[in-house]
Amino acid sequence: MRALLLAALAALPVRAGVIEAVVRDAEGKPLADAVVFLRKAADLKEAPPLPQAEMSQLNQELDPHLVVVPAGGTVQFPNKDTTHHHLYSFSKPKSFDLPLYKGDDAPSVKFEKPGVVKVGCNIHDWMSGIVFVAPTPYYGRTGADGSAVLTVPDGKVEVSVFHERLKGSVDDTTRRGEAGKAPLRLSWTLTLKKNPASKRPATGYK
Amino acid sequence: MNPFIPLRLRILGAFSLLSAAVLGASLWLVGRSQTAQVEEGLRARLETTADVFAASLQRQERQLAASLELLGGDFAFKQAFSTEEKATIASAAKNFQTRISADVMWVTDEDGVLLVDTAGLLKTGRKAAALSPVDSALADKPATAIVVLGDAIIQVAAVPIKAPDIVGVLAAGFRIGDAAAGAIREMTKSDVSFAAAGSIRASSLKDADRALIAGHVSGMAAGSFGLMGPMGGRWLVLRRPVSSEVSAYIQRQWDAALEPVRELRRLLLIVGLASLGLTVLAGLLVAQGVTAPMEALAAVTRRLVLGDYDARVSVGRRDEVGQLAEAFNSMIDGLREKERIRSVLRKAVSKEIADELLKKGPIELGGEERTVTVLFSDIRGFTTISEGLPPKELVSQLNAYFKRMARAIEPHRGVIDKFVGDAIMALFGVPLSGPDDAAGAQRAALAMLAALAELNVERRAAGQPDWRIGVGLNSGAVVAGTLGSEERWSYTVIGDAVNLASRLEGLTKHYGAGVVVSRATRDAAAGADFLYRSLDLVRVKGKHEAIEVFELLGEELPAPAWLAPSERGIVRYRVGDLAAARTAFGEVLALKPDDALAKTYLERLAAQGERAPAGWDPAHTMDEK
Repeated sequence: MRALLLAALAALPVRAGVIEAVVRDAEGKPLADAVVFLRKAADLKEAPPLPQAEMSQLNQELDPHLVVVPAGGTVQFPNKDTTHHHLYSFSKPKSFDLPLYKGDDAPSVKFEKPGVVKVGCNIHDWMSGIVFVAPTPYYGRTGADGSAVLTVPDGKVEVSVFHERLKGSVDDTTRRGEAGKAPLRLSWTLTLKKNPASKRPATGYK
Repeated sequence: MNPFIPLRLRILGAFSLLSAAVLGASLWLVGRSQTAQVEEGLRARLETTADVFAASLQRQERQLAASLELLGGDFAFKQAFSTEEKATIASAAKNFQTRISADVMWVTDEDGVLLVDTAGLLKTGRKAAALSPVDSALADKPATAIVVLGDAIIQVAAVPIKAPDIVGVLAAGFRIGDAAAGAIREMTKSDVSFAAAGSIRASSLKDADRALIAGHVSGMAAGSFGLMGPMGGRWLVLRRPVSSEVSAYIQRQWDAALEPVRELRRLLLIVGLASLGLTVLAGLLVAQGVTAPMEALAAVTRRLVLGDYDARVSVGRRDEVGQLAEAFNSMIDGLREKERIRSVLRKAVSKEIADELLKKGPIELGGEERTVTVLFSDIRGFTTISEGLPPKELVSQLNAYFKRMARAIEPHRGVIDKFVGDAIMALFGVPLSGPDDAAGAQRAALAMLAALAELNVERRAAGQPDWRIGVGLNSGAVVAGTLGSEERWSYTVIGDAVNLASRLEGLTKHYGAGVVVSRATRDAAAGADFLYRSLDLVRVKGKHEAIEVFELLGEELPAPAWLAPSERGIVRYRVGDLAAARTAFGEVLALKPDDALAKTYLERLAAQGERAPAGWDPAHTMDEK
């Protein structure tokens, strides 16, 4: 993904702004896997091309757990396990149902509306994944250091943060600023829900 | 003083009290142990029921939770839930309710807001705070609880609806109602009531019993037992908490369970009262058996006290009481014998000797040395008197005489030892000696003379001639005791002093004296104011020593005029101044012309010269006995 972003950066027009985001949790530790995104973008012509996102099923888990696509993006759900899976989502932005399949038999799913789409497997209750559908193509995902760098059209911007365990509304994280030559530095300290214990049953005889 | 309580009553009372105490104690002990046993049994059953109930509640809870877990994972339901159409969700929930035979189903959204209530117990559109397991389910923890909704006690289970994250909660409820209570009653035969907030919400009891218990449940501590209801219809109740709000009250009929104990008690009481009655009866018989002979003994004793020695106790038994009666009769025999002996003895010997003899117990022959004064008396010329009188008349006159003499002797502590013909032998100083024995003897002798004078007055009046007596007194050591053979004995005194007294009595006639006293007797009564006249020095037969003898003239008397020349004559005679003696006795005769003593001495002197010969022995030897 980072490679893609760098490729996109290379093709950037002159009028480009940079946002340097840092996300921390309530304890001040850098928070990974937070999605920092532009809420609105007037001009999408210069947006990076739609990525081919993929969430595979491996060892009866959804891998990766979090996939970010811009609205209109598609996600492939290849089954790399030997068992069947039946992926579904009842989430409002996108409800879909991929009845039992193996391998690459499932069609890719297109996510038109921005929002959080929670994906489960009907025959493996513990399997869970998230497709975050960003409203614009301008988003970044924090690394282990909690930082993300976004290249955006310059001008006034509204930036929000999503995290799977975010307590409260994404809208409340919204920050406004002016993106220009000088990097716009934004930082968030997020209050998180507890990490849920895995409900996956142990293997073997119990 | 202690009040008189008849022995019969005491025995009866003791028997009855003892019996009643045993009866009461056994009734109490049996009743207590039986009651305790019944109560223990009841408690154990109530505990068992409570355990059975708790176990069934748990099983039901697990089943409910497991069922719900399946339903919550139902993909079709998740799809239905995702439609967000309440009618669709409600009908799906209703469908589940039928599948698991629940009484109610609820569905909430991911915030716990109630979307569906198939039984209409709670308002939808708001958080279902009353359903406590919902919050837990929202935290991905399926939970169960027993909650009170309105009048209903409901066992609730809740599970999260996951798609795949938690999007809502599915909950189901089973009502714990009369039917559930009835089912437990079916299994355990104990009644169960469920109460919350102090009022009964469900029960296996009939309405009337339910009302009885309703008023009592609030006061009971958790896990405690209580007795409820009216006497005769009480229930033993165990409170077992089911939740913080709800308690189960497990009940069994108390009085009904105790009925066999009461029956046993009644039976015991009847048996006990019967045995008490028997005991009282037995007590009466025993008391009668004891007191009747005692009353008989008491009656006989009263007769004995009155001197009736013919009284006899008859109890007609051969036990200890019979032995007592026999012993008592023997005692009466002994008493009678003793009394008879005493009365005979008193007549045969003097009262003092009789008492002495009777006091001593078994008679032992033998004696002890005592100092006594012995008195002998007899009637002068009795041989002649007896010849002139018919025997019967003689005895009659003698008895009149003895009677008077006895009366004269006894006041002076004299003991008449024996009557021998007309003679009387009396002792002073046996069996009891005293300092005045010798004086008493002399007073007795004087009293005898006085008594004789009175007798003679009567005799003269009866045309009978006067009697004259002589009395001899001597004091000295004697042996006093019972003498004789084993079969026949008498209490008497023996010794020289006795013989001498007898001899002195014989001298009275010789000297013309009423009472002749030895020097020993005179000296023994030195403290008394007796008047004596010296008589002689007498050498009795078989004795070398001469005895000085006196005539006892009286007590506290002035000396007569003739006494001085008489005493002087005696002294002169003894020293051998015979002429002076003659003169003195002559003076006596001048004053007392018929004085026998003076004549006797003048006769003796007539055979002598002016002066006493060499080897003059003034003593007079008694040849006669």
